[in-house]
Amino acid sequence: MSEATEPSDAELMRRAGAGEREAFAELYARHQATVYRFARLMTASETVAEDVVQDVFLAVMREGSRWDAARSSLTTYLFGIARHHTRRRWLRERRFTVLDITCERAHGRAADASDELAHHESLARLRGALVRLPSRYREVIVLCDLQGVSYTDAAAAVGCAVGTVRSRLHRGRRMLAERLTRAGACRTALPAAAMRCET
Amino acid sequence: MTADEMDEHEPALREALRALAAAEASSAAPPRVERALLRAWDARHGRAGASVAGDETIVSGTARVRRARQIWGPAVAAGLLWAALVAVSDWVGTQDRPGVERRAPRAGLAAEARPLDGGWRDAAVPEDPVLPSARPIDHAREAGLPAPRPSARWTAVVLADESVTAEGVPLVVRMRVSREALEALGVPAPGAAGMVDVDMVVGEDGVAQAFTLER
Repeated sequence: MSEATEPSDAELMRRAGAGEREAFAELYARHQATVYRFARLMTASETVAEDVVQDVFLAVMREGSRWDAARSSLTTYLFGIARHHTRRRWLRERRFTVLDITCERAHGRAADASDELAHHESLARLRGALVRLPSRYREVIVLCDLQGVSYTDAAAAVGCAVGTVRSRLHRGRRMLAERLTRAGACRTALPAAAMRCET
Repeated sequence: MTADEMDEHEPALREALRALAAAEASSAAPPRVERALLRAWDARHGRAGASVAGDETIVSGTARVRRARQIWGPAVAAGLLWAALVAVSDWVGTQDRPGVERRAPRAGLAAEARPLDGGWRDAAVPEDPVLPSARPIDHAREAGLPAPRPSARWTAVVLADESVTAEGVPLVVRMRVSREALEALGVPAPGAAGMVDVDMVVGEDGVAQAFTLER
């Protein structure tokens, strides 16, 4: 008896293109979390991330035939669409983004709070610093460092050379470290830097 | 940051990024997104039970807020404008009726509420929080001040959902606003393009409560 294998993305896309609802639902179930996390990390907004997920899968619904399986994986294709929608949303709505973590508050709380609270606060600071990075650096950090996408796939999603991804990643990490250190977040977010700050 | 400093920070940064990735690992779009997408799918493919045509079933979070504003903003403004007009017409109707009892104004308020150099010279503060726009004129009259006449040249728009002057002493500020800006705010300002004189009642909290503008 042969074991049932999961259909490939290409197969699901083909079936969805032919109007099969279950295939579209399966594609959504398979990839929505990846797209959602990317958009959430890029914008620090759950609402915008939800919108981006909707936009991405609406694009799949309407123009899924544009994906060429020979050129890139479906994930890369979805990242490309998500990136486009995220940038558009970000440009339009960044004025309204509220980042509510201040260093003084975080430090003050951390002194008395549990490790878990300190951990959450350090993550919040990191998110805040990340979302303030220029998008070309932010997106490669989100893709490569936070979502484990290969440099090659990241380059395909972003539409640049692999070398450019590497250099942006290097520069982005440096900017992130600088911002965290400058903001005084080094104590929890960058433990090694904390030793420098306190000595 | 120098290369040496970066080298020193990089392991900690990587560790922090790993922690963030781990924290995000379980996050996913809420089920309502899938439901909306599948409704859109059904509508697009003409499935039975799809109630809305095309992709209209998709209403984004930010769009929901925006749409609510688009619907409710003008409706609330129109309602308040209507209430203000009813109150003014009520005041006009009771002007010459004998036996209409009027309360005396609070001393000093009329003088405090008249920073204008023209237009509303006689603005005053009512004690009654119920009628927002008629009472100030009554009080001004009883205080011996020449009451302003309702003018066809001016339109009043009340923004607050309670008496304009229920608490504290308001400030009346005159300013010039472009007609385009007013229309962008949903306030019709018919007439040629240009600047419009607007008298704005600002509460003690600094929030605009009402304004009048020249038609």
